Amino acid sequence: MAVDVSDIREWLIDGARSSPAPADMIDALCRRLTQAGIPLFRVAFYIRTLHPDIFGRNFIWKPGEPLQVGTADYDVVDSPQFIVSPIAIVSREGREVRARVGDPASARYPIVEDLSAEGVTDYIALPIRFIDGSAHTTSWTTKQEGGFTDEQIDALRSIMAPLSRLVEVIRLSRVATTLLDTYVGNRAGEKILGGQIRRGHTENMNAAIWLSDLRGFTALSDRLPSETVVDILNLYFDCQVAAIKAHGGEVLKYMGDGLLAVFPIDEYVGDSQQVCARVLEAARETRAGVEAMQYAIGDTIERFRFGVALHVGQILYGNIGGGSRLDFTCIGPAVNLAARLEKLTGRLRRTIVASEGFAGICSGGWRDLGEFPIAGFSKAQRVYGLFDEEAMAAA
Amino acid sequence: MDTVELEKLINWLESGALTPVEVLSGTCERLTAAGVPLWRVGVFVSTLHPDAFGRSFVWRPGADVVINTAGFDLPDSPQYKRSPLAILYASGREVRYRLDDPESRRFPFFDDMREEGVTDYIALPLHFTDGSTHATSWTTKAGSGFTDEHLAALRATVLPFARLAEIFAMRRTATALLDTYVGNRAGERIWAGQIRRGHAEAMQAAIWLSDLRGFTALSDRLAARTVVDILNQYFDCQVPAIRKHGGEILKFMGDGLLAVFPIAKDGGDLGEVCARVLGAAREARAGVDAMRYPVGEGDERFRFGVALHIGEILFGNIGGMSRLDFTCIGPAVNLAARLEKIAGKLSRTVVASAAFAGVSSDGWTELGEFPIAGFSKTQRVFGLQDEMALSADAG
Repeated sequence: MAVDVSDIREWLIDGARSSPAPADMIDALCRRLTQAGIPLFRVAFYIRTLHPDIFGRNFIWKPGEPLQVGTADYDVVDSPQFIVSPIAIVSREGREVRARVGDPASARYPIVEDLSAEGVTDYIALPIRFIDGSAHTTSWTTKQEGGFTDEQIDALRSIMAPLSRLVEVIRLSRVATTLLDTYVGNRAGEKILGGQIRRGHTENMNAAIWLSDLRGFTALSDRLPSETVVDILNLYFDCQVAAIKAHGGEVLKYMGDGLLAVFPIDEYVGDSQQVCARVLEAARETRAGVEAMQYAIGDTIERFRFGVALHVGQILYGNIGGGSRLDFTCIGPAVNLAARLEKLTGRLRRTIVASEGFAGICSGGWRDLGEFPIAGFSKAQRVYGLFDEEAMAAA
Repeated sequence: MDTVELEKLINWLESGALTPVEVLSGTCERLTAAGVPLWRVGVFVSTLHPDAFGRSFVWRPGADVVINTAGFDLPDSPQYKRSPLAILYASGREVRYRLDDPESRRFPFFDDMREEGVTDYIALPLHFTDGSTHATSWTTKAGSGFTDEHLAALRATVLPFARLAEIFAMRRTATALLDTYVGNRAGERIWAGQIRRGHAEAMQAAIWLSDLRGFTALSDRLAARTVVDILNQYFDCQVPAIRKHGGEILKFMGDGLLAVFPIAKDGGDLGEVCARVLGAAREARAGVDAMRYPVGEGDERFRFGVALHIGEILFGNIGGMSRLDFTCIGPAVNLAARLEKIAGKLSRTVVASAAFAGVSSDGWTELGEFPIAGFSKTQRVFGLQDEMALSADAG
């Protein structure tokens, strides 16, 4: 029996614009194919990504169930199961793989056992070919007795070209977001994708500011091989980035061992007390992480101390740079003050210090460390430390 | 109308073609072969880019496709507001005029088209899956204009055409984002898949580290918006000079700028690279010398310092979790940072390490030996002979 999928093809060619979200598109596609006379059971899409931690994403559809979206990390690539799987063969060689339950020629695919346990009779993996030359995988299964008919297989093949174009578009838009999240920051990235990519695009923002650095880093980086230094920095930044992100902050910049992050107040809940409390939690979490950090160099275990200054104030947030090479960052006297406070942490033997502005909002646990003259400010500035660091400071 | 030819065209578009120019010329040639008597065909797509609103591609039979970039002033220009495309963008619908229709007289663009002998015009929207609208325009010189059959063929063509245009636009956006916020060479590497933290490589490079003298005091004293404006102008003096001379801007740090100029593995182009770096430094110096910024009654003038060094750097991804920086690290970078501080003390604009000045002694004068943190021996520092007068003045 012929299977007519011409309207599905047209829908795909027009960008499936009635289902703009990728999950909705896959769900709508599978339901339309079923209605067109292809009794699909499990359908899966496996798309490789460009992401620092994620090798690929998978989307798994089953009739009557919500679409499942999962990720695979880079370890998957080298696993023996993956290398012999039809998913890997299709994306590596760009060709189809068919496996029928009960067909001796299909027995070499370990997946057949799992499929037959589920009652599947037929499986075909078809390549999604991107115009950049790479291939990705879709797999289609049925529980129909005797497996897919030739007409059903031809119908599936016939939708692959328009489907591939659409998947490539979706993947590229995901890649653009990931690149910005990775190298610019998530909030900044959202603003850039929303069109704020020109130098004039800056805005005033009320934010808590986090400025930190690793004590003795320059001496360390003169003494150790660069590969070791990078490794230490990565571990050290891991301690901070996770805590900052989990508490609603955005890492704006790395400068050697320095890190600048902001926690927007207006945009968040407008509650500066709540924001500052979360900033302090992130600082305590980071402190615990850095204290626990150990790095073996030769026979010795290297341990680390860092300092972080917390302040709250108005910043100018946006694009700064020359020509078409820009930075999405923040600037202002509040940032300068945080940078100067941060330099005091070492002298005061403290990990966490706060400005009067920050300590005033986020009450409890602060000890007045005295007034310090700070460049750029006519009056001496009061600096605050935490009670739970008294012992450390006295040591 | 040759429907077989038309079907072939649609299949070709669906199966993906190579470059934007190939897609446009291939489409127009195939439509012509199928019996659509095309004259000028234009495609207009906007992408996210700091300098450009979008690009236009114009095809004419037997000629190369002409590509133009439109600036951000385009949407406000009278030429744009009075074009038939403005109607398409506003309505999201096709716009058709026969050029003998008196109504068509209100569009100045059609005057040019009539001169070329055009009789009929249709603009068809490209609907992207993100909801944005882009445009194509199709003209003919056929005496009777486009037939209904011709129009149906064009409407069928723009659907798969839109998917390819969207893929090209997304790719361009993603690479523009990397060029803008990460740097062009780093961006190329990331785009090719070097997005994980392990991805870093050692390379020889000339290092450029600069900052604006007295910037911190300036940024305490002036409004943040003024500071951003000054920084943008100041970076404009450096970024184009660095890029033109083959350098890559890796990082802005407040007023600081870090750039690298890669040197071939065998060091064969060492002399040539250092000459380019020095060329860029002289150009940036001239630019900053000429820079004036009105503040209150007077004009603010600026001095900067740049340290030049050559050495091995580790170039790649550093950061925490999935928030990374594509940057460089190593003792050579530390030395450049310390040299840069010496430039200020010596009232010099351009200073170089012995390693850099030793490549071509031309124009360099030794400024003495200085103790530098991280180095057991004192380091010789070099200045430019053409700055003698400058440092004598300041001295």
